[in-house]
Amino acid sequence: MKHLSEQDVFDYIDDPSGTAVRDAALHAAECDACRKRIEMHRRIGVSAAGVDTHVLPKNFTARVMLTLGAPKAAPRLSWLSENGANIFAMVFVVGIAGCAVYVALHASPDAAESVYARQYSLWRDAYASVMQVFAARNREVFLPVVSETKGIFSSVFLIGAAALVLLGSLDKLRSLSRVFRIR
Amino acid sequence: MADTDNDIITRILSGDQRAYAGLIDRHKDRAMTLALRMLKNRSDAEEALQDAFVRAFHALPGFERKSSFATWFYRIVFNVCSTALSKRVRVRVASFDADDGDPMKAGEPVSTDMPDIDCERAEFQAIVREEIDAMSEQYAAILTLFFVQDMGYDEITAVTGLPLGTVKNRLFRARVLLQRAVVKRCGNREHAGMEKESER
Repeated sequence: MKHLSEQDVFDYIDDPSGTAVRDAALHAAECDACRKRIEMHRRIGVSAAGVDTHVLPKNFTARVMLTLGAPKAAPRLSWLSENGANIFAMVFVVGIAGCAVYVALHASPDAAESVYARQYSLWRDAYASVMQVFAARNREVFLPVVSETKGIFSSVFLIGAAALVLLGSLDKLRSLSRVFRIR
Repeated sequence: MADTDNDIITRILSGDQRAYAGLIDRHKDRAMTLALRMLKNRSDAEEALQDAFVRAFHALPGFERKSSFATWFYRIVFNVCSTALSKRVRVRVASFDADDGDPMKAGEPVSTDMPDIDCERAEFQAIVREEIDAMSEQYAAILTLFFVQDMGYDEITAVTGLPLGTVKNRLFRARVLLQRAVVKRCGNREHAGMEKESER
């Protein structure tokens, strides 16, 4: 019996559905020696297809990116230090807004000495201080609003400001998620 | 759904350079396998791969997407490794483009005396990889492109720049040589094992 050539074996392994290998398949069904050869080449192919993972150092990607001068993925601490002021501002503004809204809706004129009113005064003073620092030029506009509208208009203003800060933070969070995904 | 290579390339070209890290992560292990099998040295392979990634990044605006990114990138890796090989002091008798005159022919029937191989899968895999590593880079590279990168003749031709006939011939020889080497090692190992059994 004439055995399969090596090329026949390779053709059969690489594309067993091909019409050209039909004779090879018929032969292999009857020939134990050729069947063993086919099996051996198949095992070699599967083994040779393995990838050598964990050969590269873990920081390989970061090194290449550094070489390219591309922006590095910012570490978490760096992100916090960059955005700590934003977060503080957001908490501060949301606190003022919440307090102002509550007082505007619930505090009666007679409850000037209530806990809520005292808190409102506290927040209002803090807010006025911030406004003095950041909006000194417009003091004449902002301070009367704070002191005279009992929180209603300032609440609207503060909620708007909070929304802007929140949107900015969400944008930062999106950037952060990209950083982590890259890693 | 994960981004395709083309999606990532689009992002890079639109200014998101950090997206390139995704491409690196996706291709580095397979590319390292190719570089390692060509250069036979881990630090050289790592250096070549880094160089290849940097070149690919700078050449990305000129990538016309006629082929896959993998094919295009492995051609860069292959060229960088070939250049590194040619710079080595060691003088090679056969260059990558030269045929080695092995008289094997594709249609030639070969020995059908195939021993029963009963290696454990992991052992067998280790033997196959060691034998590929031990082969000359011209065979190791083509075997790697064929098996690891799962490339066909045309893609291997595109990566190596060799004529189709040479690719076919070289791949045929490499597979036969690999099979012989593996059978020899496994056969010897089994033979040694049988001798140990008989000594007991």
